[in-house]
Amino acid sequence: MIRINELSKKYGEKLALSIDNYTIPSGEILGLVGNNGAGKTTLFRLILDLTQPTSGVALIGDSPVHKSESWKDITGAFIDRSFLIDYLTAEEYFYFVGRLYGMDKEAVDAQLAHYTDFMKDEVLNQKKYLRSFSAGNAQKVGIIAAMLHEPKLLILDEPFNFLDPSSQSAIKRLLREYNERTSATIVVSSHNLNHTVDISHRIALLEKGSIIRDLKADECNISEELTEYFQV
Amino acid sequence: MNLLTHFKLFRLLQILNKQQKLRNKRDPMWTTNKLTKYFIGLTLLIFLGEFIFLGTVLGLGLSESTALEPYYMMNRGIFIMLLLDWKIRFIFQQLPVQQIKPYTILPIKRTHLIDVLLIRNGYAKFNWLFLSYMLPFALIAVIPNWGVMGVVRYLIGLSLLFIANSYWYLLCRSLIKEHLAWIAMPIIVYGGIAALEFIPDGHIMSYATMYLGQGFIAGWAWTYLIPIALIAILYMINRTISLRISLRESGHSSTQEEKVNVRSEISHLNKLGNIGFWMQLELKLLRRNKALKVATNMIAIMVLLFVALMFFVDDVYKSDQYISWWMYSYFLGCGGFVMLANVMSYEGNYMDGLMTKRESIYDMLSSKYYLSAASSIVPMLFMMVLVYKGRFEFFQLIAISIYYAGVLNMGFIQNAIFNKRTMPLNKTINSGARGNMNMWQLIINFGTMIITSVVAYVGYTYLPHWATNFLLAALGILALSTARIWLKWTYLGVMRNKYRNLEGFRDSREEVL
Repeated sequence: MIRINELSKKYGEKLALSIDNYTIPSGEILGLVGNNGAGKTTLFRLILDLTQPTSGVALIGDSPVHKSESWKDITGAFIDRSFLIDYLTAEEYFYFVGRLYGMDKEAVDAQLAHYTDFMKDEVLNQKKYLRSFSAGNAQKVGIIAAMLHEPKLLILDEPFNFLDPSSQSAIKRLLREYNERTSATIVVSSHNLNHTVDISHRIALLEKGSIIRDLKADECNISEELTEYFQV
Repeated sequence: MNLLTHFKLFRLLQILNKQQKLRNKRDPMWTTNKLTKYFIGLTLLIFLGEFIFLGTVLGLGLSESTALEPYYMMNRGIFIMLLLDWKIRFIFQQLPVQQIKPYTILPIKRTHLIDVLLIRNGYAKFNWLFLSYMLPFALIAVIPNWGVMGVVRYLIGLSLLFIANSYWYLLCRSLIKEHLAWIAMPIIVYGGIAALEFIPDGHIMSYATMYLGQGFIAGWAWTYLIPIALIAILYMINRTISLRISLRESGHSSTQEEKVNVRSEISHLNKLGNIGFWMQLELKLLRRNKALKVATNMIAIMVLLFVALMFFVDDVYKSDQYISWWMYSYFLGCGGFVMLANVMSYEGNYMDGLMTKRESIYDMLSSKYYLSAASSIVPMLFMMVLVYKGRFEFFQLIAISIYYAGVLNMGFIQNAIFNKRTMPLNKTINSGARGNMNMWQLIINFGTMIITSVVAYVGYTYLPHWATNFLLAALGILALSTARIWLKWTYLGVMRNKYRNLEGFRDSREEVL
């Protein structure tokens, strides 16, 4: 689903990311972990064509992301709150995003029904704009909006942030179910090692912009490896 | 206040000055584009040169052309100078509450912060701009009768007036930002001054300022007390209001739940397809965000004021087609400028999200252009009153409106290609709302207005009026009818610069979490 070829990004003289070759196959849940500044968000922005690579290319499907927009139809992403249009209500934002993917109101409502438990009566019918939402509820809106059109590729940066424990548990369940139901590729970054390990088929450990370990759940004990690396 | 407090205030003033200098020096607009810095510097130098020239010409010209001393004539126009100065401040001057935010969580008394920021406002560079034309004027006009000390006394008095004007501006701006109804305050004040000047015989206000100016030159102490008293009163009012606003906006007092506006009457725009869909978002952007709501309401009021002015004042504009064209275009141009000069700046808040959706930017740009073009119908309808009254030609009005809708908006929307600075949507307190334009934006905005002025000037001066009206309308129709083509080019320009602009939006985006 995603191929990375000789991808690098420098900010001035500082190397933020450098990945020679890396492939994320279709249907896989990949967890990206690493300390602050490891390059997780930079990698997401490069994959989503939101920042210019210094060299190399990222491909979604067969499309180099900087050359075509076709990948946008099959990709859903939520990086941070700046993805939200904060002067809309949650419903308006969902219908807005749905419309961009050619969905009518009924189709959006049908999709939202999947997320009723996750939203917990705190998202819909709130009669307030997204700017007045708590960080946790805004996070929920962003995640649901990214999944609304059932993308083949879902990219979420720190999806467990700001969520209460039961919502964290709910989002883990949702992501697993979504992956099983749609065979979508999901890439998730998080500082929460337990949650990331719980849901991922594979973990990529980033350090100073490079993937230093590529851990597969069926080949090793990921938790032990990560515990050793992070010394937690 | 005891000595310790004075010392603390002085230290705080020093620290804030230092930080402001650093902030200006490290502004992304400068650091990312050195050329912009030189371009703006050059523009300022040209303006300064013009002011110096103006002061010199006025000094020499009035000396030769009137029986009265030239400074008498100049002093009669003090209110006009102050009014222009007040108006220009809306573009350049920040409110103290806009600068306060970064310091509110530090262990500094809020009142001290406000005091320091208000004091800084008193000696801000802009307050001394008048010297660029008044100093050469005074050197030429005042020295012969009153010597150098006359000039010094005169400029001190005028400085006090301009400082008072600065606090008057702050008061108006703070209150108007709170509620648009406060625009009535400057209207009443300036209307009152105009009424005193024009309604009774004797030009009361201009003679009053003439004596005031004379008092400054002669060094009459009581004349200095007038602006000093004004400064003191306005300072205290500003202090109270700024404190109240800053407390409220940082949540120290009870805040009302924001009223949600989910009217559905704009849903019929869906019939216009994708463009209509994006127009709905655009209308929500305009209606639900304080910064834009105030700006659009201001445009409406300006147009209404212009219509009222031309309705009640003699038909001086009608005597010259170019002047009447310019007046109307200026107000319309301001409208387009406000709507499109910052195009993408507000979207910068959520641009990353939009960029991950296919071709959404093209539809968004189209909706902005068509909406802005369509909005020119509103002032045109108001202007019909003037057509009925015989103060404006019908065909000229139609021609200008079409030209504005098509060409001016086409020019302004090119800002989308170069704009890379996020503007906060719904805040009055912020540290990033200066709306700085980069060099390309300055070229686009001023270029659009200047080219338009030249076309109209040449047309109305050298061609029959009907031919100029026809030309303007034809250019407008051409721009409107080819919009799909050139908007695509604009969109491609946006996409070409997208990485640079996205970085800029991120760097200047205010943290909303």
